[in-house]
Amino acid sequence: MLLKKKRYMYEERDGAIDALVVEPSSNNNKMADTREVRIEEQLKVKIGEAKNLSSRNAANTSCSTQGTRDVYCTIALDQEEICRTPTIERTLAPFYGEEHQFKIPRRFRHLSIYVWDRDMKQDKPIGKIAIKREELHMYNHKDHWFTLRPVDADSEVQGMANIEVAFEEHPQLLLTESISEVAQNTHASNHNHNHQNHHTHSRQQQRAHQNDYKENNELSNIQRATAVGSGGGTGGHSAGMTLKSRAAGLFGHVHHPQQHQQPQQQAQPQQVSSTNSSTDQLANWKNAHARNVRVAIRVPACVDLAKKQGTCDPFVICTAHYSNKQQITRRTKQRKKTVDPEFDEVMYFDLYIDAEGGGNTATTGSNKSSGSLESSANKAYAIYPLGGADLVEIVVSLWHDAHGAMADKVFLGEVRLPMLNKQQQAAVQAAAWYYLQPRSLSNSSRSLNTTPRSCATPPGTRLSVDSTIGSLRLNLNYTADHVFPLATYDDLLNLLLESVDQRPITVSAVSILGELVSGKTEVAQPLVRLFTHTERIAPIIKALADHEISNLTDPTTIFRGNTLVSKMMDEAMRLSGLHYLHQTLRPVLSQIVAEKKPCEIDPSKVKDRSAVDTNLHNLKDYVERVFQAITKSADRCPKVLCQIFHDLRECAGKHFPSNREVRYSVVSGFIFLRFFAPAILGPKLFDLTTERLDAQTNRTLTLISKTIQSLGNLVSSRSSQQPCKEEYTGELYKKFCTEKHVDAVKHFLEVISTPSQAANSSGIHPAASAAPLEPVLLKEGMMTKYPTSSKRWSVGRQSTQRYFRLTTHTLSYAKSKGKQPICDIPLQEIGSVEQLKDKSFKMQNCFKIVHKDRSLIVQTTNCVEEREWFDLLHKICLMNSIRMQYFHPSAFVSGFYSCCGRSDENTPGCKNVSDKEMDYFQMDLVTALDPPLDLQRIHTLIMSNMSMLDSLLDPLTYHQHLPQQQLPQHNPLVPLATTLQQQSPQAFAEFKRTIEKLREKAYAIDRDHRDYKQGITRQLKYGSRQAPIGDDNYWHMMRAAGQLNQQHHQQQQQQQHQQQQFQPVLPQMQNVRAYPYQPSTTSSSNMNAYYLHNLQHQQQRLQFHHQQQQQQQQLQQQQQQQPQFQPLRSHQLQRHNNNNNNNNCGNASSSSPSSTASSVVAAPSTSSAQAANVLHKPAPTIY
Amino acid sequence: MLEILDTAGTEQFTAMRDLYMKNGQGFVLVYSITAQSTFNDLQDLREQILRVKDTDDVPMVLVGNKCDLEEERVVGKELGKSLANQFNCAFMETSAKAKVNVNDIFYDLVRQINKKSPEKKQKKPKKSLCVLL
Repeated sequence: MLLKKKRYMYEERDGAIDALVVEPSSNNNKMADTREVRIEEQLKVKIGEAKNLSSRNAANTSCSTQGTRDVYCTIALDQEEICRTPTIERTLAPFYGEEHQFKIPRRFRHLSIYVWDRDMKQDKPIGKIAIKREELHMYNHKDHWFTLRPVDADSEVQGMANIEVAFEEHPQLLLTESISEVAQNTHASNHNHNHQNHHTHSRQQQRAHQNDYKENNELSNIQRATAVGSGGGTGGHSAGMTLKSRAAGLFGHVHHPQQHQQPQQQAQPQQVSSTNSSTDQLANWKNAHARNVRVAIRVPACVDLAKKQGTCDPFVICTAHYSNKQQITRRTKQRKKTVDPEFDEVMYFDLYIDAEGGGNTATTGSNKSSGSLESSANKAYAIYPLGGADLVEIVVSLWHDAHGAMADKVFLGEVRLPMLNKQQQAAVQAAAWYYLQPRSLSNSSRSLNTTPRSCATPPGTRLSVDSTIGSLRLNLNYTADHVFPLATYDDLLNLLLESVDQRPITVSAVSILGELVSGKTEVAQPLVRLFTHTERIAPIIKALADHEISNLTDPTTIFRGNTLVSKMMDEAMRLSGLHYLHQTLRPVLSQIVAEKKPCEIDPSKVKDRSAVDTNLHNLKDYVERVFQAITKSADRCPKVLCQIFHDLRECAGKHFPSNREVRYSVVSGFIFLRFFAPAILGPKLFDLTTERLDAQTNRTLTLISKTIQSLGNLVSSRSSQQPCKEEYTGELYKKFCTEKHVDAVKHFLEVISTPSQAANSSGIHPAASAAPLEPVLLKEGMMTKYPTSSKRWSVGRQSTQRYFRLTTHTLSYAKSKGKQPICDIPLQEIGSVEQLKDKSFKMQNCFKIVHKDRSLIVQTTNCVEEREWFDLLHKICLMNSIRMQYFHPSAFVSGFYSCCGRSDENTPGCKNVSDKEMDYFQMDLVTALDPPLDLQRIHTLIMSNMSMLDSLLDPLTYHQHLPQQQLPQHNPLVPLATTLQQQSPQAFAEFKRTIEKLREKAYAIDRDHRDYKQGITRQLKYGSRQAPIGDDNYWHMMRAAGQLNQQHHQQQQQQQHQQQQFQPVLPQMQNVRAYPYQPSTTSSSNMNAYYLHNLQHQQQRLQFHHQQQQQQQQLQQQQQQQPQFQPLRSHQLQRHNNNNNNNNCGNASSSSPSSTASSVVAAPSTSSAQAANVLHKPAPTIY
Repeated sequence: MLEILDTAGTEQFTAMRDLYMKNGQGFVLVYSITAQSTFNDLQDLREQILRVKDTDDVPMVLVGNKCDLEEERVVGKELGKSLANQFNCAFMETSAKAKVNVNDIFYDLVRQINKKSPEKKQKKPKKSLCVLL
């Protein structure tokens, strides 16, 4: 394991060193390396119901029913809507019971649920719930009532801003130095680009730099290419720098080089402020800053700003607040139609203003800027102060220019930088990324409202009483997995696969897992996917089922309980049988949904008794049609399911040789009770329909489902004696309880439980076997289509809304749903599908489909849709032999490709088409499997239940005869172990061996996780793009990597001390202070796993800590050896830092969680040489 | 009229379960005295009901079924009683097969419902975990 650990560590280091040496262009393979750990986030949201919604204003008479509303909900990642519920009309307590599940394709801060009131003119938000990403896991698996908060323009904030702050001392200092620094920066950023690992980020960063204002045209092509190559925020940085230094050269404004050097030394000033104990250090430092006279603010880049009314024309307003309540405000020019603007303008503020001088300075400020290149952009206006005053705070706010609308500008977010004294000034990072925050009211003209700004509802089950707008019940399930390459999980996978041959099956890893994890579905899902992938699904289910049936006394209760094997059957049918289900039921169900014939036959629920006869007739007709569809589908049942059903039937026959019916009922108990009947009852759960079903249709489907279920039970003689539980169904069953129907069911069950003659046991190619049959719909929906057939691609070309349908055969689009397709592309002819760099198109969520000689640019409504469409199409293309090798990731604009600069539109692409290993994807598109992810899920489950495994290895567990209610937590494995012990010592030994192996494999993987996280934590800098200031997740991350332990008291003291000073910029850090973390017993978030690990394995942790200390010492030595790398000032700080670390007894992180601006950057004990390179290096995204 | 609903234990029906819980006025939590796992699951089920109802006061009866199979018993009567104590609800052991105590469950439950809201006519679903035929 040590070897592996080293492997990860060295990769990180190599990366840092390579950045200095290797040319950016040749670094492609590096990207592949660092991509080996990916993060998969999945979110499942059930919107239950809302209640106590505030009633509509009585004065509003446009609504016939007074007070009530027409309510729907939307789920949004930050401000981007992902999906919405149907509208429930005329209610203040709508019930939804809707479940939405998706993979999260990008970074986000809040999950928001908005509750809307549909209105004639414009829908109005009633309220919303926003939950921070890092708090989502606390709500996992359980229903919670959330109090709705008002939707307030000031809190509708997303995205982040890169802000540069420079304090200027000698205005005439060192022009040359400044320029050389620029060159260095540009260089560094080029390298950095190659370490953009996580795909989300590389996508964000890959955006080309097309600034839309004229200054940029002056940049030579070479500069432009540099900017493009360097990507993202850092690219903007370099371009901006060049521009600024040119301005400086022309007009004599020069920024002190310190501004540029600081990014390389960012660690230093923060460390200073984290400990204020050493007074002489502080004095030195004060001297160094004594001559600061003004501060320069620049916002070189922002990302992910919120769109307002579908567009965003952002600009920056900087307001300086002085101690005498004076404010000086400056703003930049607006940028058009972008959520990722870049601003070149530098805004200057004096640190001190006096009665006359203040006015003067402000005037000179505007004079200067009017003389500079950014003259028009820097509209400075000042309120002249009446007396001398110090700068207290600078507020950088972003606004959307809403030309001529009700308000001329819309708030997008702000960042507050406290600058009252030297300490606060020092605490501000020279260049850092900040999360945009809601507008705080304290300094604005609004009433002083002291309620907390956070929109997130505090954790808790019960509704708090103060809800005035209403409340919403949600069930959230959020998982974030760090998925390592498959090789990492080899041992675990083999251990699981061994289960197939182990007897008794109860000593196998699979069976133990099933007992261990309380949520059977949670563990069944990844297991089934893994065993399906390795084509061992039938044998493992057979082994488990055989054991279960052998313990059964009454054959009528066969598979009625929720056990591992029944859950695995559910999942297997879902996974392998979904195509089959769709082919079988979709045609008839869509007829039923479209026709909407009433089918109510319960006399107590029908107003007009005479309608019952008609309804009964309708219902009989529907049931007959569904019945026919099912019984005639037997031939198409996937082979793998046939094999499983066959095995089940054999098992039942073996254990109940005299009972003839159980052989049928064991199969019908799955295919009808757990597959067809639920699918008819809830077609949405099986993706059989996307439409909203009205109450009557739901009732119809319920009745059909019930009847079909009863028909499935016909094979059992007992149920045919008393087929109907309600009187009114008697008539219905008379029609169906016939010999003919019984025979049809029997025949159907016979066929689906007979394995195919052609020993194709793999059977997971229903698409292939069903090829001559109707194509199966994979995905459909509205998207925007941009044509690309003509010579030049330009923004604003006419785009069209089209309804796209992707089936297993073709991709087609039509004017609207149900219309004849305008264009139908056979899947084999799709050359490639690639995501496009957002920026060059000024559009989000686009991808390109290359079809023969023409291509199609398609825009989806949100990022989740984009990912789903793209993933599906991408997998299809992997199988296309005519797949192209290269493509252009950027648009062809103004005569050349912005990605590679070539001017011939027909040049072959400049970038390799992204390749994923083929073996990840089975031929069957829908069952595309991802074994590493499944293995990681299993690993997470093992880790979160590790305490139970441990207790089983403790011999005391079996000797103590404690009554079970006295155990702190019921261990489901103990009864099993006791039974085994009594039955067979051999089996018990085997059982213990399996548990030991499971533990060992899980810990081995866990070590990789910890190494990886530590590596990232070491590189990660608070204020970098990956960990913007204001990001709580950073602290979770540090904690997860074991960096924040011990020194608890000391930290708290520091916190208290610093809180007094840095109040305005403090992030909410309650979570960290609550350490030691108490893992909630029910939540199985992977984070808990680390804590369980921590708490229960003191010994390992101590060892680990020891290692850490050693590393720390080494690194400190390095730091001390290389101080000459740092300029003088930082050298002083370095000493300070070391003192600080020593105080903390060599703990790897001396960070105090509460100080935003200080401390943590100091924590990762990288050597200074590394620090210089690593600072800009974006670490893989952390979640 | 008393409407009794036997909720299916299968996971696919959870979306339905939500609606039952919302509309139901009283709940019978049934476990099998011969299967520990059914007993263990009740804690979560009760919690889910209380969460959906958003109150602690929901008419409820805890029932240990299959009391005719005394020789297969794994969940003691005391265990059931103490859980009912913890739930603050009524408890009884029944046998659907031998028709022991079955009517009493519903008398007790309806009494609880009427006490809570005496003025209206009630309907009430039954929550059953172990499905018996």
